Amino acid sequence: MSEEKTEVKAEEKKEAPLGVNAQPKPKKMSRSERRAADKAMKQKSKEEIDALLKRDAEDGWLAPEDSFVSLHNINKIYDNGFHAVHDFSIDIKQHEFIVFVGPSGCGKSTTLRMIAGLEDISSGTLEIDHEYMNDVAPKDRNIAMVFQSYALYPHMTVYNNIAFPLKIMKLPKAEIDRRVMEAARILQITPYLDRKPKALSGGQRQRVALGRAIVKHAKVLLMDEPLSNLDAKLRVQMRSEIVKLHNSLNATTIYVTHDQTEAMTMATRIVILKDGYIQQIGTPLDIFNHPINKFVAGFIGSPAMNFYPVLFEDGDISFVTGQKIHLPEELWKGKDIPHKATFGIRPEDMYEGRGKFAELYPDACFQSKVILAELLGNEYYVHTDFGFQDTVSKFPSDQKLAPGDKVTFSMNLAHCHLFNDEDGKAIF
Amino acid sequence: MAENTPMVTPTPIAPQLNRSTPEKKKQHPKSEKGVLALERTLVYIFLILLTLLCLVPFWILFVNASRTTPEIRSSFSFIPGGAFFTNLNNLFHTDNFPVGRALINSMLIAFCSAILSTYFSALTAYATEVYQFKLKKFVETFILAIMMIPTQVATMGLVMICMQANLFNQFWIIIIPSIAAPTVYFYMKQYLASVLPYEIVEAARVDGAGELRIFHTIILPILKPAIAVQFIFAYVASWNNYFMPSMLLNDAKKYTIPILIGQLQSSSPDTFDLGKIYMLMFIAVFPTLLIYLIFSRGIIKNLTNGAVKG
Amino acid sequence: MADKNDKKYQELTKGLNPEGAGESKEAVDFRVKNYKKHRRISYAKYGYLFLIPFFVAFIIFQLIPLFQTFYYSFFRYERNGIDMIGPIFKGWRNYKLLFTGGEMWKYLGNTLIIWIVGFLPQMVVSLLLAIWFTDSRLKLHGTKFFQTVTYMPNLVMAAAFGYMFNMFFSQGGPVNQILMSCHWIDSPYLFKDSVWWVRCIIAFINFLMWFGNTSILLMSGIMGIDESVFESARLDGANSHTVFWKITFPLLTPIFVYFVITSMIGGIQLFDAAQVFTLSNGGPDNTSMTIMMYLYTLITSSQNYGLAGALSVILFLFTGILSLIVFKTMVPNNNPIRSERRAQKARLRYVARGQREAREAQAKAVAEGGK
Repeated sequence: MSEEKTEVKAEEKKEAPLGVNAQPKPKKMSRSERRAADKAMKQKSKEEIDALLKRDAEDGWLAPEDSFVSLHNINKIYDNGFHAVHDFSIDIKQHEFIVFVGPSGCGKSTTLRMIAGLEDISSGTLEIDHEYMNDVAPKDRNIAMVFQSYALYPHMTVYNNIAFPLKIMKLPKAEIDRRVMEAARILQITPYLDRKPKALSGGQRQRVALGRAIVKHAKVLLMDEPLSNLDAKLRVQMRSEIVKLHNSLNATTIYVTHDQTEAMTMATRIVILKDGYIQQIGTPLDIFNHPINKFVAGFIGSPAMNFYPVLFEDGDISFVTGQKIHLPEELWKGKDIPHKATFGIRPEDMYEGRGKFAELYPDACFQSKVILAELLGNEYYVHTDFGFQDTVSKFPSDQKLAPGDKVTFSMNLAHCHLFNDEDGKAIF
Repeated sequence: MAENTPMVTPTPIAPQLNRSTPEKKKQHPKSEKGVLALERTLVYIFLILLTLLCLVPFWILFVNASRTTPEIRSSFSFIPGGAFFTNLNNLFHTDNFPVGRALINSMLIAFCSAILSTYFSALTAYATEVYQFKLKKFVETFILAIMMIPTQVATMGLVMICMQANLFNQFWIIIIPSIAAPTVYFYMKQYLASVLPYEIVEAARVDGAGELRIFHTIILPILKPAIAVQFIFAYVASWNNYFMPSMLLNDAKKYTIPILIGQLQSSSPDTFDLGKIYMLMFIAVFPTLLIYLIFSRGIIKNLTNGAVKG
Repeated sequence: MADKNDKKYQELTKGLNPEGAGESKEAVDFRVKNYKKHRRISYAKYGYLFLIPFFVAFIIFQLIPLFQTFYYSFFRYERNGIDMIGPIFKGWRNYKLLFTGGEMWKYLGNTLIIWIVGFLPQMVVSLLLAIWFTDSRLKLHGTKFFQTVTYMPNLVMAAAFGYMFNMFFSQGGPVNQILMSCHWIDSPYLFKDSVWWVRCIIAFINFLMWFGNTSILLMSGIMGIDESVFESARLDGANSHTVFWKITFPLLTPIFVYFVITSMIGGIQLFDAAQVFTLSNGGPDNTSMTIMMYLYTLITSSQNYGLAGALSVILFLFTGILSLIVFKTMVPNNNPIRSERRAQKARLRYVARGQREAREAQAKAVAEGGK
């Protein structure tokens, strides 16, 4: 009898379904307790915001001359105390293509929406073209935005969707027509102008959303993960089209994505975020070659960088397996390096066989057994168990590889990295 | 030993089960199909009886509205007569019985009430759905609470006010209150919640539209199906309304159709022109039915959907 | 708005170090004020704005008259012959008159009787229809047609219904004509003189008008129950009877409560059909005078505003309490998580019982087999 009951109870616990409006499991507090807790939370977040505001006021900051969009110490704290964005600061010059990238929940969309005016800025300053914008309504900010779900008006034709912002600006009909037709031409949606959104494919809808954004000739173009809802092939195609569009319009674009490939291929500068903190701002090449911490190093680049826990002693690093590498002096000379660290090297910097890097860094050559060889066409991603971990390296595909094969690889130590175990910061 | 018992148990169980289920299987398909067919027939018979119950009164109404009084009095018939237009004509030309006037009054009041009801309910629903403000929860619960209270309880007070301010026979007193229609509001709110993606409102704000403009150019078109259905219901409700208008309208020129029907009480139907009376009922009932039948598919679909989402 | 800030801002920060250090006190103060005051874009005011028409209309045409009604319920204010007596403050007099005089109770009783006579068939028929229309095994055709037809009477003017049936059941009316031509009676039956016929006909009108509506309501309730609950019950061998009583009915309880109470509130409002059918007479010996008809006479013919006010207040309180009950039972049950969990629990309970019975049967077989 009792085992049945526990059986049923276990089933219930496992199977308890959450409805469409799923909420976190409600705590067993009475209503008044809950209300008091909410109120305390609100009070706490209010105090936090006030402290930040005070700091802003005493800070005294002006946007630099050449910056077009400036965010200074932007914070977002929600009513329930959740601190979504911490001290976000960046100076964006005109005609830049800035990409905010990071894992889900890192605050990139929230920041974009704060720039757009769709979310309140808890503290900090936002200036667009040297005008204070914190309290300005979205329509007065001279911005245009492309939403992740396109947000097209379902009852209007494509033409009217694109013309909508222009009608509100009260432009003359001829001008509206000219701009809409031009946008349609650029985006190749002229044959669809008479259709309604529901008669269009995902890619076409996305172009209409783009069209609606570009006709305004706004100062800043904001895009919130516009390619997320498209299939992989379309995504690759649209990536280049958006960049071409940006160049031809000479726009200033701020783009949000979770895909590091998009960030690397499209951006003039990338902002990497994690848990509401900026990790690094830099050009794609900069970030790729000189990541500032382990997270950035592991986030950017596909396949991801290989990390190994190592012991550093006087220029030598020793792996868990006992293997030792002597690092070139210019990397570690004069730096204070802890005994325990994390060694990072990208798959691209692990070469096949005994090529030129084998001669340069003879002690960085190793033999290993292939666990998995993923063929991409012109190259393999070879998985070995070097360092007792899943190590990935890129090998050319002229020689066929299969699991179990023994391979030799050499490392390009000029491009390796060492990370501090405590805070993840890069030592070199 | 104890080992014997476990060895023995599987055998009695398995054959038992095997024996019972095939038999059961053999029994059920045929008889179950038969039972189902019988059930279905009974259900259909019941449904047809119900349908007759719903339709026969209206058919009799139509039949008698097209016959002359002596014909009606003499015998019962299922076949319509030929006096439809005569009765119609006579009805509209009866002295001291302004049917034409009442028809226009009813239509005017119903139409204006329906427009106000649907428009402002949509606006109120939009306000509570999309905007965040302190009193939002209170407003939602409040409207829900007053939805069930019958409006007749306040009628006496309204009559008193009209008496003191001499505001009888004013149509606007009957029309304007329909701005506050909790049932229509509730329906609109549910529909809006299921249909409106909030990003569209944000996109419109970024595009530069003001809030009222967003409501008119984007929200109302999206609400069109709900508005259409609720318009019909609000129109019909106002058309059928008897209690309040009869107390607020005492000038014969301002009467609505229900009030006229109520007026028939004074004369016993045994002496009156029956053809005209049936015709009066006819024009009170059939226009509504016609509109309903034309839009019935949409109406029933919306009713079931709205109810499910509730 | 931004311009004004900008100009003032520029003024205050003119000639200052572009790095921002060492600003004047005014600049810092301005910034502090700026930050604290202007940091929010709020659309809340539009929420309030758009609510104004509804609430203004409500206050003017419902709330204020309601207060008037409450107010005058404490006064003596009636017509006596040609003159009006009052308004004179009399406290609870009107309420006492209503409660102690027999009339209100009699008419409440009538209303209750008529309501029950109409409600019981309505409940049964609506439930049957709802079950049949949603029964996937039965595979009924033409459900849309039946739904359309049964809903139709809801849209008909109740006053018209009342007068129509008055004519139908009159001495020379169609009902008597049919009955006589079928030789079931010899002379016309005076339906309108029979206490119970009048009540039943009014109840029937109410039934006709509302059963379609309630069937749709119950239908949606049944459709809200997860289909898999029914399927697993069927798999376990439950027949329609068990399915209905053990699964459908318990899960339908919240909607049923809603249906019963809204029907009661509707019953209180019974007016049009009764008034017109009985030609304002309230039937033989006022046995079909409903409480709303009473209110109507108090306002229009007897013009006893004090009593009418008191009656309105009593009805308001009664319907208010009923709405509160609906509110309490319906609102928490609108939580989708809870109702889904309840459905799961019902199924699991049923499944667990089935397992228990199977296990007992096994144990029994073991015991018997062992012997």
